[in-house]
Amino acid sequence: MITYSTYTNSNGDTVIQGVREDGSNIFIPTDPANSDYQAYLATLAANSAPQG
Amino acid sequence: MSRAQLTSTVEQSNGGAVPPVVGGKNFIANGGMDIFQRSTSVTIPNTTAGYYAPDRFFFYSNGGSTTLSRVTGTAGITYATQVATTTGNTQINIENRLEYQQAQLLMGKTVTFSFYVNAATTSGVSIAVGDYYPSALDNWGSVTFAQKGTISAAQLSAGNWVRQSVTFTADTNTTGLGFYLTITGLGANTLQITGWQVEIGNVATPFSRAGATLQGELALCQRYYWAVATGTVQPILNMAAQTTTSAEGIIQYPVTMRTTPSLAVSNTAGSFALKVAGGAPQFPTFTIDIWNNNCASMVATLATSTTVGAGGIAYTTSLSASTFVAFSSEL
Repeated sequence: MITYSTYTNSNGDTVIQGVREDGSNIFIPTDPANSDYQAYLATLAANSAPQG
Repeated sequence: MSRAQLTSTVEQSNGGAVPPVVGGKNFIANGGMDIFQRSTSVTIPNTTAGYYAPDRFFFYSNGGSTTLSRVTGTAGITYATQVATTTGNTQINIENRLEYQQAQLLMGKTVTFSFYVNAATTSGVSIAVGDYYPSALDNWGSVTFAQKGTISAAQLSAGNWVRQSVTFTADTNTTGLGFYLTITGLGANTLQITGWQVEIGNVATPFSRAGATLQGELALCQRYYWAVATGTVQPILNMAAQTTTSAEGIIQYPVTMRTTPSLAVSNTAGSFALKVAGGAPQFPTFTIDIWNNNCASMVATLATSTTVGAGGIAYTTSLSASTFVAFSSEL
């Protein structure tokens, strides 16, 4: 389970910061080929899906 | 088997016109398990698949407690991975993923997937062998498995290494290709594995590294993952203070990575420090500013003040063996 937030870097790009259960951090680029970004998008999609 | 294939196999086995070690013949990066950047001994979480021990190998365990460790290999291959399972284990998956650009060369071709395996106990053990592929281009969030063969308990030898192979037609798609073993019937057991090789053709030729050499294999692995620092008192990069409590520096990866990587970093107060003239202000973690697939601008927020413009070396302190910094562009 990763808790996500975002911030803007000095170039104006969005950086996704994830905090893992063990407290460690993961910083994810908004690069469609990055698998952590793919997982982030999948999590967003799952969370926004209508609940049955 | 055609005359050409027979000749090729004999020549490879005997070191004839075709040398037995041919870089690039094997499509499995780190098939000989030379590289363990993450850990050489780790207990993996139940039903949470991931990269845990040998580079490029993806593991899944269902039931009981499973430990992966680096052990002695066989047949001139220095290392193997030992999978130690406990009562209740119903399945182990070991997988290796190729990105689409590399996998295209295999698609629709006759390929032979070979590996060395050593099970402490063979009774009831079965190994499904096959390829698998993602639902979208190099996006392995959803995958389809295609079993191509089975290694039965009768083909194993308790406590001894055996080499097994399965020949099949690799699946064709536009997304990528991986190769897997699904091992069932282990329960409480110990299984060692190494020498993964996937090659074009219908015979298993002698094992060779995808990257030809140790350095080539390491570079292949670092295209996907780079462990910058693990444990205590490890140098990381040079930084300079931009403010009294913030320092920034550029870190260059050893090879260009597959894509812009993620930065994974531990977060514990006092586990990192910046060695500058007159002191070593500590910080708990790094953040990242601008980065691409060649280098990254890393930022440290210091717990105590330093002089603006002061330059120094960022390193892991002696606080915790669990401190780590790594970049990942894994599939």
